[in-house]
Amino acid sequence: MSTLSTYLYNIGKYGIFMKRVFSKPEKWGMYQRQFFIEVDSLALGSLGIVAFISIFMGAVITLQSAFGFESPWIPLYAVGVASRDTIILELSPTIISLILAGKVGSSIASEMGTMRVSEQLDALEIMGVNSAAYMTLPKILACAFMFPFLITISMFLAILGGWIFGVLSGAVSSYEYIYGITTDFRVFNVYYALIKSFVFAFLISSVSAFYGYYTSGGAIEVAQSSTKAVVYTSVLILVFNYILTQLLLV
Amino acid sequence: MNFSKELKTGVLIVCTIALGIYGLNYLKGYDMFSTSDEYYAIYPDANGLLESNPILINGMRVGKIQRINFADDNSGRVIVKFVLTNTEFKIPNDSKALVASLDLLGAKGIRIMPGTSATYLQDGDTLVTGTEDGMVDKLSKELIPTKQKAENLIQSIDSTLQQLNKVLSGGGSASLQQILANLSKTTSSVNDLLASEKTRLDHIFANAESITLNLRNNQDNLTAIMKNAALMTDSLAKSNLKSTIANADKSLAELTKTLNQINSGKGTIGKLLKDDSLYNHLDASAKDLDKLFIDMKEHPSRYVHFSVFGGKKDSK
Repeated sequence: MSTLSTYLYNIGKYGIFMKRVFSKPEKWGMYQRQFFIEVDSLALGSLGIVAFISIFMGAVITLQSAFGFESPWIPLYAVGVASRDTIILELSPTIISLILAGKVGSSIASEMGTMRVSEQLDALEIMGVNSAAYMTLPKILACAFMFPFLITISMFLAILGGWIFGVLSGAVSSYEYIYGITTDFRVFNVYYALIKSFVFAFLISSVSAFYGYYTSGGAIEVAQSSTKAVVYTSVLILVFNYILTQLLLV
Repeated sequence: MNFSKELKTGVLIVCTIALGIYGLNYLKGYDMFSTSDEYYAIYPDANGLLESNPILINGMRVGKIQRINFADDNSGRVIVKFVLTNTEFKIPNDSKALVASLDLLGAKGIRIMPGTSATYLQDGDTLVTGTEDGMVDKLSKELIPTKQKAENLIQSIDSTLQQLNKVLSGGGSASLQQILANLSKTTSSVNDLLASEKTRLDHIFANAESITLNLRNNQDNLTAIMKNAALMTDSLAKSNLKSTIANADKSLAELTKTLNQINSGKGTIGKLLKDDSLYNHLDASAKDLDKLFIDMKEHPSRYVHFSVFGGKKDSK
């Protein structure tokens, strides 16, 4: 099979997988319990790294802006404007999603892959459970529901981190930074970022689950699936980032 | 204490929503956790003001614009609502809210010029408004007259050039060419003249040179002459010319008087000149003398007795 038809084959396979995932659940209570387990492990477990990355990302982008705007023609509050817009539009939704694609995506893919090779998924099927839906739907819902919250926290912490480190390092004064971040603010940018993070969350969870679910073989295949999941999720995040930006902002 | 997953999730969601709402409002220009006063200003023209532009009092940023709306009466006026988060400074009620340009890029804001009144504005009051010229506005205001002047100048240059064109195209160029030809002829004649009369000119110049040379050589003499002249005039100035002239004048006056007296026949000389009695006497005397001499001539004997021998002395 040629490369193109391989892609089309995989897209079709993914579609059929999604149809199975979103079929009517056998028992809502089971899914609900599973949902909270996934929220805890995927979203709450990522809170620490998201917070850490956001604070330093905001600090670095503020210092870089201050370094780049060392011109008498550009008022220093432009540092605040630039940091805020970069963080809200791109850094928080996209970069944090890429980080989460690595963390959450690999975890989903390896978990599902291991269940596949250790025939736990087959056991579920024998028990009459829709294994694709039971294993995947709570993850997708947990990610799609929780990631916008994580991204909100990330934006807040990144702007806060920019303020703290910008002022501490003397690159920008508190007054100018705060003036900058409140100047010409468009609320739609935040909505755009949250829409993006919702779409990215869906991509991360579903594509990783897809690659994990269709693992066959042993430990090496699990590792390969996990790698594939992270790579394709990252590529898809970047492609959809472009598509969404083109649709929503231009 | 072991929290359930549901509780943790709930806490995260609620906290994030609260954080999101606070953050969004903060970025939009409302700070929910600080006391603030709202004021209004009504402008005929928003002049590029934007929401969350700063409010400045004496250069201090004390708040920001919260909302800009058209007035309800459809007059096109713009109502600007702004929030002051720094309420330490009480605003006198005759303060003015001016729309100001804050930097070169044209960022706008409202500058409150504090008044002098002792009563202060309350939360929700409306300020007196005005507009302050920014750098760009000032520049354009000054540029426009200059531009007009430049336009006028260009127009007059244009018309001048048109006139010139007309002159040059309407036979003017022919006369100009003629003038140039004449000029060239003249210069060539002058050239010829100079060439032919070169020797004479040389002579003239040589003579002039010798004259000046002489003058230079005789400079000492000339100096001496000048000195003498100076001395002379000096002594003239010093001599008592004035009193001399006065004396002369006086003498002349006397003389005139004397002459007048003489003329009017007064005195001896006057009488001598005017009165002819002396002359008459003299004339008569001369006539008598004449008669006498005639008589003497005819009859000398009457008067002279001549005798060689003495004779008769009383013989008559």
